Amino acid sequence: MKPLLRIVRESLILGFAEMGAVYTWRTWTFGWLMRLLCQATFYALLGRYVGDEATMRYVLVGNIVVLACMESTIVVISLAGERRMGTLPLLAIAPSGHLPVYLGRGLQWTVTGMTSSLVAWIALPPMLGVPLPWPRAAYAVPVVLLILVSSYGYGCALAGIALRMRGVEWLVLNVAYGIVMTFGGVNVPVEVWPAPLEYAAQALPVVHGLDAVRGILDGASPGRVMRLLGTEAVVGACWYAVAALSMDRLVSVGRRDGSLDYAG
Amino acid sequence: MSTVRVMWQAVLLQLALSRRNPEHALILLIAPMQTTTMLALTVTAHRPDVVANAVLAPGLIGLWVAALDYAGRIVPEDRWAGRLTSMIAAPAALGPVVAGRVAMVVLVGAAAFAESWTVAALGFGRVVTVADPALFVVAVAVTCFATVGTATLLSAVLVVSRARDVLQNSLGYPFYILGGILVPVAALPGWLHPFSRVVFLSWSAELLRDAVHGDAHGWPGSAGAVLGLGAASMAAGLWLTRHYVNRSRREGTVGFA
Amino acid sequence: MEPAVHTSGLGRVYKRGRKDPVVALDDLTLTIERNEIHGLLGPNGAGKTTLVKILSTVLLPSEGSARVLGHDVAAETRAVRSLVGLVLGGDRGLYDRLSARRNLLFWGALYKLDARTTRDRADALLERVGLAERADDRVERFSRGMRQRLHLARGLLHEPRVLFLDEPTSGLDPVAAGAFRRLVLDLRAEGRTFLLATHDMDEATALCDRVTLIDRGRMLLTGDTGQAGRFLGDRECVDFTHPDPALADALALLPDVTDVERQDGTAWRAHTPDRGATRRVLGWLLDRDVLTARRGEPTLEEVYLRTVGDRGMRV
Repeated sequence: MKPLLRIVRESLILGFAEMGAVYTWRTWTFGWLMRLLCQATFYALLGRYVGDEATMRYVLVGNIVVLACMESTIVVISLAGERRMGTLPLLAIAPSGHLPVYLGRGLQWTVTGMTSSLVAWIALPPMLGVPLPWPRAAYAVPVVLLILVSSYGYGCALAGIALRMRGVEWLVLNVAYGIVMTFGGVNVPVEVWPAPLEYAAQALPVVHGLDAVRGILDGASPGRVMRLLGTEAVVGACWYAVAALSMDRLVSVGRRDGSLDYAG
Repeated sequence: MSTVRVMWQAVLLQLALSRRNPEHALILLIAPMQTTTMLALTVTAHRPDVVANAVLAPGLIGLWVAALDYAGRIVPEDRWAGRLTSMIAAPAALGPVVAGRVAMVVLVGAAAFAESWTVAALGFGRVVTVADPALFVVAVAVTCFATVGTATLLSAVLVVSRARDVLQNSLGYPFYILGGILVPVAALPGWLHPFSRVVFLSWSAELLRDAVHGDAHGWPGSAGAVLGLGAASMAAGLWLTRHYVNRSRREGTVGFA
Repeated sequence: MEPAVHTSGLGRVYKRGRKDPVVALDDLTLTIERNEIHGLLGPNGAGKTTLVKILSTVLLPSEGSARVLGHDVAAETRAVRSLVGLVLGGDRGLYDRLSARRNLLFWGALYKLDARTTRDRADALLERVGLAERADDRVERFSRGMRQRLHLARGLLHEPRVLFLDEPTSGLDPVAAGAFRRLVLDLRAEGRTFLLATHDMDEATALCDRVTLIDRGRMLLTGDTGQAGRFLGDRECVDFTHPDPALADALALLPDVTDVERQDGTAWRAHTPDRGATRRVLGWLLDRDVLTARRGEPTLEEVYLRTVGDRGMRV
């Protein structure tokens, strides 16, 4: 356990160091965070325009919670960077194996993701005139954490694709959270979609966790909320399993066909 | 004739670059998802009158993102500050090249419009028809012009600023709100209106929606505003660029990135 | 005692979709004794990197077998990984945004070293490779030579007994390359074994106990560096300087001389078939007051160029 924690720690340090290449805390706050808040606001305004306050709140809650997913899936970019930096073969032959690093390389995004969702959760509803029922709204915070964790697994699984094909990491990232934003019950309930899509959407992260958040706000029974949380956790675990398998295969195939290159 | 050929070569170059770089297709991948999101919300709220907004918005976003992409990535990749100096010296030679590449930007935006329309028609069974095609053509034309002007300004701002990635990321949604591309400016809080009016998107979006609904009154004012803002952006962009190039010449700061 | 490295009939083929597969290594049998610095020479694309990859378990062989200190690289991967260190050449393989020390701490965690050991070894290694003063600077500001030394420190962190160095001094200036070589010699003195893939003949001559020359995946020759001349089939030669090309022309006509080549300016080299001929040629030159004449030994570079051909010049 202790060596694993050290790998996580070192990965986090590395992650934040790389983030520092793009952001200072000021540009992060006024650039990136502002963008996320505007994104949630944009859809919330549409909600009010086409519907009423209730629609707006529905859309706003969905869009705030999905920020956690959006940020944690940026792990796709961090992982694709390992190929560019030529560290894949070195990671593959390290005794601790490649998995802890692969799963740890985007952890910084979970930290920032939690921060952005929290800021949005606290600031946006009152600003837009649809305040949340506090203190009940506080119970949603650990749920957002769970969503963050399951979305990170989803991101890691998709990073497997970005690691195999070069230059597609931004496409993969955008499609990954675009699918969640579109079909994950963020703006409209999942039930709106035709049956096959609705079933498929059950496999996405966020879907069940977001349902739980809405349940908490609306005073649903604890039993129902716990069931939803359990489902979200299972969905997340499955994505981690896919991620682990995909990365194991990446390395074993790479050793066989020479694609774990360090020269190219 | 040769000008057309140079422009065509520039289009081909841009196509080749985009094909090698799948990232450039990003907008075309996102647009259908955005349309789906917006339409789903519109349709479930039983607001058929807003369907046109939801179909037009991804197209406008496409144009805006393409302009940002052009400004933030393609131009700096060309070490454009150096090229722009020569453009000022010999505008005839480089003008068509720039125009050819910008045409690609506009094409991307136009493709987003088409995708969005198709998603509405096939996915939601809502066929958006344009009530005033002539006005629509005018609206698209002035919008493209303003996009090019804005791209010029944005590239200058992005080159001058050091935090290019950050700016590129954050110049989207605030402008989508201000530009009223989905929710009309009239529905925004009053104190935002003055800010909205200096963003060409706000005039463009109204013009496009009016063309779709066949409500043509007052269009010359709106079209004029789009053209004026586009021209002002382009002038500001060129001035900023020249200022920057001169300053870096004077101070000997060569690194543009 | 098991040798440090032993390969037998080692082969590697890369499949390339519909195109013909590429044979990167073909039936390579090679032994590297413990505590040896072994040079792996050959032009680009000869198969050097493929061999290094196979031995460091990054790549699986398609034929034959390879053992490191008695452990099979394909079957006993885990054991091999703890015994070997891989040192890459070039700019890649380091985390640019981290300091030199942080890079080492990162890899220390991955090598499951405890925190204290990692810290101590990182400090000692940074000192040793001469990066102690820049330990907390980001790697992105490092020169090529500094990166190379950090690569070496990284490869040494888990104290491997066998080190694989792939083009470690490519692109280094002579001073940096010299410092790097001294470091390798120091490390050998501690009992480590090195396999050094390079196409730098001076480096191989200066460092290696033995060399293996490969081209197109096949071994051309292997043996002691000091006796490189023997690779050319016991060819003898005589080196001398003389301002007048006419003398060289006259020399070339002697039955004892196979050919005479101009080295540069006034320096010449005459090739002779055997020791006796060499003696007679030396006498002939002394008779004509050419006092600079002496028996020469073909350099490794000459061997390389003659064996690989002029393709070697394109590296």
